[in-house]
Amino acid sequence: MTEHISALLDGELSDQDGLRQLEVLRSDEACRRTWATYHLIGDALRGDVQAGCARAVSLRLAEEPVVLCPTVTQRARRERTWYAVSAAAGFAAVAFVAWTAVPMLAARPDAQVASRDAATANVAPALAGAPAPVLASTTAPGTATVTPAGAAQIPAPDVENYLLAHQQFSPANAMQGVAPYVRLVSETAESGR
Amino acid sequence: MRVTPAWPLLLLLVPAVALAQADPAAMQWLQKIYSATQKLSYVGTFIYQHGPYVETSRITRYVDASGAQEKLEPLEGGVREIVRSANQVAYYIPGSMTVKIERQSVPQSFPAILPVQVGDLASSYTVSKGDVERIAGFECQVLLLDPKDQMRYGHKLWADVNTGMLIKARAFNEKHEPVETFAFTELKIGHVDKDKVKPSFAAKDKNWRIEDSVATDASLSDAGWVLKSTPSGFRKIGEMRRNIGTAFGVGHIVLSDGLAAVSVFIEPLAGRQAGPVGLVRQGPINVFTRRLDDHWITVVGETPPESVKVIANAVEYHKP
Repeated sequence: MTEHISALLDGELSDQDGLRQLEVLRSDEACRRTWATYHLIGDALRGDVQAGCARAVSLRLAEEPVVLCPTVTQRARRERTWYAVSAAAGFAAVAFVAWTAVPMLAARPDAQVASRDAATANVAPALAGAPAPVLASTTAPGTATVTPAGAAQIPAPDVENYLLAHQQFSPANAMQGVAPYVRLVSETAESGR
Repeated sequence: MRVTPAWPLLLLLVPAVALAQADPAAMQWLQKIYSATQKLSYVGTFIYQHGPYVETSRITRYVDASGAQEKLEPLEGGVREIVRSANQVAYYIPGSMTVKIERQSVPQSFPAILPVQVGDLASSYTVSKGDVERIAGFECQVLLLDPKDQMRYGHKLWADVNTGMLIKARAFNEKHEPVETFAFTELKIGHVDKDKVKPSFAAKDKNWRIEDSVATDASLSDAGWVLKSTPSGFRKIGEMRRNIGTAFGVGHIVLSDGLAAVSVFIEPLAGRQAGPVGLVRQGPINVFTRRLDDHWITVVGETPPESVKVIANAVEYHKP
């Protein structure tokens, strides 16, 4: 079920499947909670979340209908955020949640705008297949994880621009031709499904 | 004044000494890979692996007297395409109807920089020959590049015994864990139709958004920007002003040890808020960001985290 929610978040479902999934969300509270959790994680990763927010969200969930409006477009799905690297590998879910409650370093205003539509797309795929709301999959080897100290968040389009400017100067190109540019087009966040 | 003429000679000796320390047969093999990369036309499918992720892409390369044109197409996920020629790289993202074009003001000619590269390499890596192994149906010579310190990754290369074409390449961290692997699963070396390396998208279509990026050589040290020190083996190979997306007048310094490169971007904040300080990573690429007065420093490199961090922290501004 969670993968359907994730696909809905990603805007990957056809209109018909999307409508069906929205119907499921309307009728199934557990699914609704997962949906809300995914959004909350998206907000948290983006640094839009203040301390105490999880409780506030729960309270509001109790009294409000959840807005079921997938707005993530094909383009947004492409734009992932590069998350901060954890110094200690295998960061536990608990630690992650504890940290996201701490206000993050503010991103540049333009960067925030750029990452806004992207974040929901980033989070769901990382979680798909894992029982919600466990974040263990974000700590898989090779996946960037989030750290409380010196945390950074750079929207993917920004990293992409720096990487595009950088890559042409890599002497490795003289050995591998255009192949190293695959780093630029790599869709890590999605292949983690 | 009388001693001055001796200096250029001494400088010439430095790479020669470094070369002498490396296995000459292994160095010849590296040279063979470089010239194969310059000369060969091919089409193939390769896997790219970093961490738990594996992706498949197609690569097409066409070479004639006017130079090479290459096309890279990921076969998974959204459709994207990179087309690279001598003086520009175009990155097509049809999902958002965007093409990002990176133009080079001075086209780099690989043959001219090669001897320096190989010399540099040998001073930062111990280069040795390994066994012959079979990869994707090709008999391959294994080459090992062991880093002499932890400021760069180690590499294992598999090159086709017949043509010198690099069939597989793997980068290792200091624990000898792979951080990145490229490996052809299928490769046809030889004639390729020129049409096959043309972009699949007509970016002239008015609906496409073109993000153009141009770099111009410029002395950043004259403007007061210096790196107070750099990790051993890394030297400056380029210095320019460029735009990065919508940010203009961004200073760009490139350092390299002959194999890995690190870029330092210096961006005026111009009233914007500083971004987050710290490190992000994907595979072997590390990005470290920090603020320096009213400038934003972003360091990007295919080097270990410590390396980009040390370089970022070495950036200083001295009023000229």
